[in-house]
Amino acid sequence: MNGSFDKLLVEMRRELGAAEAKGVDWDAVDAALFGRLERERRAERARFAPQHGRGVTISVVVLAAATVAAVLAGKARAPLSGDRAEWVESAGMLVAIEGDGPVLVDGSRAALGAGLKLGDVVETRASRATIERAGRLTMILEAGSRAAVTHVRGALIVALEQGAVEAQVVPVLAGEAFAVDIGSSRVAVHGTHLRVARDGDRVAVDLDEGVISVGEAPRIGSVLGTLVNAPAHVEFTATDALGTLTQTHDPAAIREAQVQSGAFTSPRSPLRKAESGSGSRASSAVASEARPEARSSPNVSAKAPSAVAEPSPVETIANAVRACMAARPHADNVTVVVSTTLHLELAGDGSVRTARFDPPVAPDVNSCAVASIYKPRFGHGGDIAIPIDFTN
Amino acid sequence: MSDEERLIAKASADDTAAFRELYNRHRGDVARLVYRMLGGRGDLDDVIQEVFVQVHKSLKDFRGQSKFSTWLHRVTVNVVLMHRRAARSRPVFADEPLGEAVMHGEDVPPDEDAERRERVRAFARLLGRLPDKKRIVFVLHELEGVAPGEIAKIVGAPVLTVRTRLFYARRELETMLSDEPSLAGLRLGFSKTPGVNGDA
Repeated sequence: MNGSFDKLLVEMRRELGAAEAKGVDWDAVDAALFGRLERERRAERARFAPQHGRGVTISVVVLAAATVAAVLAGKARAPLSGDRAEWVESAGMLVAIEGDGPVLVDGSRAALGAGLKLGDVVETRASRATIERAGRLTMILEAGSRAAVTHVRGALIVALEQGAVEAQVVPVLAGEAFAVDIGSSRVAVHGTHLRVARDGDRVAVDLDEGVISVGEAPRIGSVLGTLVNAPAHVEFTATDALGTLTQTHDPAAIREAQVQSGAFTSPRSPLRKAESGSGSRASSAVASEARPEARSSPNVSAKAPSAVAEPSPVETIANAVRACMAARPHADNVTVVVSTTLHLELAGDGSVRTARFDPPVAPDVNSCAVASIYKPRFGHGGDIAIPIDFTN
Repeated sequence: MSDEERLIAKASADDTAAFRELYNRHRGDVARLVYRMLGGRGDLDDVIQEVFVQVHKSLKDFRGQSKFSTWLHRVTVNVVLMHRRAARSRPVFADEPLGEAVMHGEDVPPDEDAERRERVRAFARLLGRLPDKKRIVFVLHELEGVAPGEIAKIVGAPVLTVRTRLFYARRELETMLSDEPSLAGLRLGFSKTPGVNGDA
């Protein structure tokens, strides 16, 4: 190494950040920090201790109600302080633990009912953790997984560091409701049931319902990647999602992944878990039975795995167009209403010959939707009109 | 038991006054480290706050097997990394102005002071371009003076890996110097083949 660089380092040791550290508004930091610690201390006191055996059912039901109240209260008081806004939206609540071993949040054992927030790292070992974001999504972190909560404002985003996450997401009309980051790649969800698993840099996504976008994680806004319609099994490499993405719509490939993923036990129905026996190992035995009911969460159509059928071409196209509209950047406080009709001219073999929006839509929506419009094959020829309404 | 050990023990037992004292002792060091690792003023206050929230949460797990400063560095590094991940989904303003609060004696000529401040800004920009893993070890070792063995504990990597990252971080920074006009002269100073970059 050389003297010039070392001299530069000497200067940087002295200068870089030294004045900024002194210039921190410590009064504001102190107030925000100790105010937050006090709030967390109060919340901690309100948390429930873990219950076992027959007591599980009742305690979880009570906790679910408590969390809804907590989330509502959190929304009502955010932003908190006058000069230093602090967003306290919850990432969700731990509502069920199946299997032996603890669920760790930031390295500490978490009890049922523990609230998750931005920055928390959730880790499962021999157990599976069910996390619910009231009214929005239910997520299972499978055994041997580790995920960090990286975004809670509006959409929930988790960075999957290892293992697999399965989620049932209540559809949103605009933007993304949930996303899983795997390295620099993102699987973004508008409303669906999916499972994302990683093994090193290899990523597998099983999509039962809805539409997802797969692409590079953006700094802001929606993922401008490949739209994938359910049912689908997608694989890619985390470092280059778009360059390595492969997808199949063969239901057999998806079913295989579902077996691996195990049960999707509805967190809203802990009774089911208790009924199946409090023993954790018993729960996987009811996997296939629990799954259809789990999907009947609000606003989400219920489908049994055996009923994973190709959605109708009309549905596929309408979903894709809405997803493209939802992916457009817009301010949170602006309501976007789009009402259009997609006129398709079909060839004799059922393929789409021409497509036209009336009234026209934005060019980027056109570009985004074009592949999805021309891909499906109808069972007939002729003309068809698909009304599409979108409101964020 | 040292004074600090007593303070840690009391703070981990939820003694707010002890925690506040611990915070007052270390907040300046944490602020400087966070600033260096963030590469700018950015969300400095928020990240400092988050570091101490994590310290408060995890203090009961601190067993004294490593130095408190090592443990605190580890917490800080983890929070910064988490923050940077989260920041990917938020807007980033290019060339965010760095603090102008660098104070110097009256006797420093204004032009020299301006040059020095520009060098600091430029160096921060270069640091920000280093990948996280390299930047962390570089900041900890070259700017904070933490030994590679301690860094290995902080980042959870073998010492050899830390040394390798340090080597490449330094080499990458050296290469990048020519991208910053205020530092390009230094690049010449240690380039073995002056003129390679067309700046002979």
